[in-house]
Amino acid sequence: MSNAPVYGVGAEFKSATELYHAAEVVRDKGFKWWDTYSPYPIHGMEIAMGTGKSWVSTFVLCGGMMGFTLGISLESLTSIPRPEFLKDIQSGWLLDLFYPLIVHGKPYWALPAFFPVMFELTILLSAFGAILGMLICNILPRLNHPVFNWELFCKRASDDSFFLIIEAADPLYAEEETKKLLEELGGTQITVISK
Amino acid sequence: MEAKVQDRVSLKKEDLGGTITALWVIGIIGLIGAAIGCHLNPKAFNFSWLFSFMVFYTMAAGCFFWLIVQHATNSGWNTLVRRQLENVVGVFPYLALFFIPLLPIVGGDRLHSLWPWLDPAVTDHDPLYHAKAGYFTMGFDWPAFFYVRLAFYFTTFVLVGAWFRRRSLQQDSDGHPIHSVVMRKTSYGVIALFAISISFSAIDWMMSMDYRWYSTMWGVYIFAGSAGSAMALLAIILHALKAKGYLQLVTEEHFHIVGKLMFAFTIFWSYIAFSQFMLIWYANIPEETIFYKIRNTPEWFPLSIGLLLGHFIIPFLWLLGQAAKKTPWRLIAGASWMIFIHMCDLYWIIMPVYQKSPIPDWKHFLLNGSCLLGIGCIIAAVFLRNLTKANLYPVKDPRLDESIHLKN
Repeated sequence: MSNAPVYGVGAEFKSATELYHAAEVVRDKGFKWWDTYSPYPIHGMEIAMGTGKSWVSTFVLCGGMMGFTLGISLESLTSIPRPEFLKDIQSGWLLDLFYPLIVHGKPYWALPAFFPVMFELTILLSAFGAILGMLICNILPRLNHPVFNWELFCKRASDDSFFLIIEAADPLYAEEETKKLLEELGGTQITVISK
Repeated sequence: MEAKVQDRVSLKKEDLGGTITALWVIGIIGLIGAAIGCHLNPKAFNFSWLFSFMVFYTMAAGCFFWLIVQHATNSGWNTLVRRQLENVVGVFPYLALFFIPLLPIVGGDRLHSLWPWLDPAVTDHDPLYHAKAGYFTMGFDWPAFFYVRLAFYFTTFVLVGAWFRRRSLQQDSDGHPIHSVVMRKTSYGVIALFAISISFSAIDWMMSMDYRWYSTMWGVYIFAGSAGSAMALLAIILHALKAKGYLQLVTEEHFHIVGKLMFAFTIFWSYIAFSQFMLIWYANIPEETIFYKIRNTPEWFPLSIGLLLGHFIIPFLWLLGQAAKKTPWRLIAGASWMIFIHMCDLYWIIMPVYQKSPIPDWKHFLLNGSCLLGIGCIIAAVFLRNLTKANLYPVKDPRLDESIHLKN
């Protein structure tokens, strides 16, 4: 056990308030690789942890713009006549792409009719972006996580206890000092978690 | 409930200096100008007056909507800002007075150009009118049902609005939480009254400029513009008060919510406007397309496209980010733009019936200006008077603490 690679040091806290205040101190010490675990979401924990604004909205914006572009180009390309510079193509899939039809006496490029599809695709790909962004930001999906090597954590983390774990990957990590810090913050059951 | 931060709870009339008097003077000068315009060119006056009236009516109605919907949802965030909505709703008695020049019994033949269905010479031989005549007249030879509805709208806005404000002021003095509960329970039903009032007043006063035309989206369309511009108005009022050293408890979190609602209603307006346009464009029935036909002339077309840009794309991109809602100057710029473009929207609805080009000649320009100034300055003066008469926020509302410590 003592020679196994170390994932980090964990401590158990008895209440959300204790965990919150401990997180504030760990944040102020300048730790980067650490996390808090609780059976339910704690309002304001992202401020206590100093995680900053999530990147998910960027994924949503990119997804939305891709959906909009996809919608307008799919509809436009298939509705307009083949442009002049492609006229001398005699065979291939490009011939089938342009398929101009007069519908309802409207022009080939009837933009108002395209809007619903552009709108729906924008929303659909925004939603995909949100899901994908959430998975990427959380480094999911994964089958296991080193925190589950800690037996107490497995028993209580989703039940009635609150945990704070500082990873060994953190530049400020030093086993003895980190243990001491967590103890000073009121943590109990301080454990070194193996990888 | 005691406020944690020291904050001035009231704004004295003396702090405003001569603002209210100045507004009354400018307003009355504007009204005199409008009266002269009415004498010189009654037809132009009808349209200018309806346009100016609708600008302030829709924004005040939007504030009424936010007031009741926030009571109905029992929302805590808005407690600090609610009094400003109540102050705007308090201008409705004056708005009711400003409707007098548009009453058929007062306007007489003058109004035939605005609402052709009042003119027997037009309607007598028009089967399209007779199919709808009951909606206006209930079978009488005068527009009885029109008056009934008119009374209904202003009863809702004036009396119910005053009731909400009075209850809220009562709570300021006795601090009893029962007022909050009573207001919440009342607001459920009032939402229905509001929906009927805003939809049918839009139909009665604006859609009926061409009684042959109809759109089932019309009420929602006007409502969408009203609610968005009312939120923008609230943003400006709050920022102005905060800049003057009042309402210091209002933080960027409140402005964030206000900005989000403005953003939401930008999209909602676009959704509704487009739904209305697309179904008419797609079906291509002459009696429906006439509305867009007269707004699709070479003169009006730039404004039609301008609405798409200005009422959707520009505010959408401007308000999209979080920083735009939390940075004061960016939110104020967005809010001012939304009010401006809401006015353009109403101008685009009303004026093409009267004139071939969106740019008025100088006489009509002056008339529009007098009507806007006349109604606007007096409404603003009444709003400021309401502001000085009560605390700046409901000091004893049980949800005040929740609003002060708002995080979103």
